[in-house]
Amino acid sequence: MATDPIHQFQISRWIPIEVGGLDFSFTNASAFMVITVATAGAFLYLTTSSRGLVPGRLQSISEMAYEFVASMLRDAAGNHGMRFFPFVFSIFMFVLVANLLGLFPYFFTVTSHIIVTFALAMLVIGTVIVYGFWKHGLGFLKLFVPQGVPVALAPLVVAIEVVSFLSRPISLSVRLFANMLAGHITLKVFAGFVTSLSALGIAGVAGAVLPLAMTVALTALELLVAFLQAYVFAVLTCMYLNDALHPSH
Amino acid sequence: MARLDWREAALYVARDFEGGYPPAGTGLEALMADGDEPGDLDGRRRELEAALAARRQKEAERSGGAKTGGTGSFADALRLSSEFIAGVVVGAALGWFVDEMAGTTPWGLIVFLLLGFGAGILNVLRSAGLVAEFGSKAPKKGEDDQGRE
Repeated sequence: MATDPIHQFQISRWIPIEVGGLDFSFTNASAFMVITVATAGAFLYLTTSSRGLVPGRLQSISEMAYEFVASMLRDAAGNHGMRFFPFVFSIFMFVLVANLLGLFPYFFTVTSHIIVTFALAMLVIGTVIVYGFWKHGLGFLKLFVPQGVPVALAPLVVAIEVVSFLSRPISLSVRLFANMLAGHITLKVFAGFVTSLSALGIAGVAGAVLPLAMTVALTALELLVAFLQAYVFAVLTCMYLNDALHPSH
Repeated sequence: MARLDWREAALYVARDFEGGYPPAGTGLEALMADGDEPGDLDGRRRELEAALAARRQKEAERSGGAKTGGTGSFADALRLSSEFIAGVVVGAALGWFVDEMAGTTPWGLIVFLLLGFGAGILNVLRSAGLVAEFGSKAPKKGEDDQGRE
C-alpha cells in the first residue's frame, strides 16, 4: 500500500541468518546502519585527505563538524571532557548522517526505531556509569545527594534523583525516536494527500497544490529537525559525561 | 583546526591535525609577533594554547548565555514532554519490577509511580534551567533556591 504512512518503518529481512534460534538477519535497518557509517567515514576521510591548509568547501564542512562537537564538549565538560571526543563525535556523526539519509525518498530511517536510539542512549549512560565509578569510586554516588538537603528529606530526594537519573536514557532515546517518527509520518501523510487528491480529477489536482506546498515546507523542517536532534543528542551526551567527570562540582 | 588540547592530542586527533603547525601568515601571525624568538616547539604550542583559550573565553563572553537560542518552541515542547514522560515511565517500570521481584503488588507500583512523577517534574524543571544541575553544590548565582532546603 503506497499511501500507508507506517509502511516506511517496516523491517524486512534481506539476508536471513539464524544462530541458535536467535534471529540475526541482515535487515534493511542493518543495511542502512552500515551505509550510515560508511557514508560518514568516507565523507570525513575523503574530504580531509587533501590536508589543505586553506580548506576547500568540503574540507571546511568536516572541520566545522569537528569544531562544533569539540567546542560543545569543551563547553559542557571542560578540557577533561576532550578524552571523550571520539565517542561524542562518532555519536553525533552517526545520528546526523542517519537522520539526513532518512530524508531521501525510499530510504530507511534508522533513528526512527526506538531500539536503535535506545541502544545509543544506553551506550552513553553505560559509559557515564562505568567511567564515573572507575574514576571516582563510590564518590560517584554523591551525584544523587544534593548538598544542603535536611536529613529527614534526604531519602526521598535521593530516591527521586535516582529515578530521574534512570529516566535519562529513556528521555534521550524517546526524544530522537519520536521526532524522527512523527516527522516522517507527517511528511508521508501530506505527500499521500497529493496523490489521492490528484486522482479526483482537475479540481483535485488544483487542490493538491496545498498539500504539495506543505510537503515542501515539511521537508525543510525535517532537515532542520535532523540536524537539531543530532545536536540535542550530542549536547545531552556531553552534559551526562560531565556528570561522570565531575560528580560533585 | 589548531584548537587542540595538545597534551591529550594523541587521544583524539585525526591524522590531519597531527603535528601540523600553520606557518606565519595564516592568521596566526599575531601570535608569532609577540615573541620574535619563537623558541622550541613546546613553548610555541603553549603560547598558541594560551592565545586560543583567551579567544575562546572572549567568544563565550560575547555570545553570553544564548546557548539554547534558536531551537524553537516546538523543540522545547518535545524536549520537556519527553523528560516528563520518561520520569513517569521509568518510575512505573521500576515499581512493576520491584513488585514482580518482591511480590508486594501493588505497593511498589504506587510508591515508584509517585517517585517517578516527582522525578519527571524534576527533569522538566532541570531541563528548563529552573533547578540546579545534578550534583551541584549550591544554587548558581542569580538563581533563587529551589525550595529544596
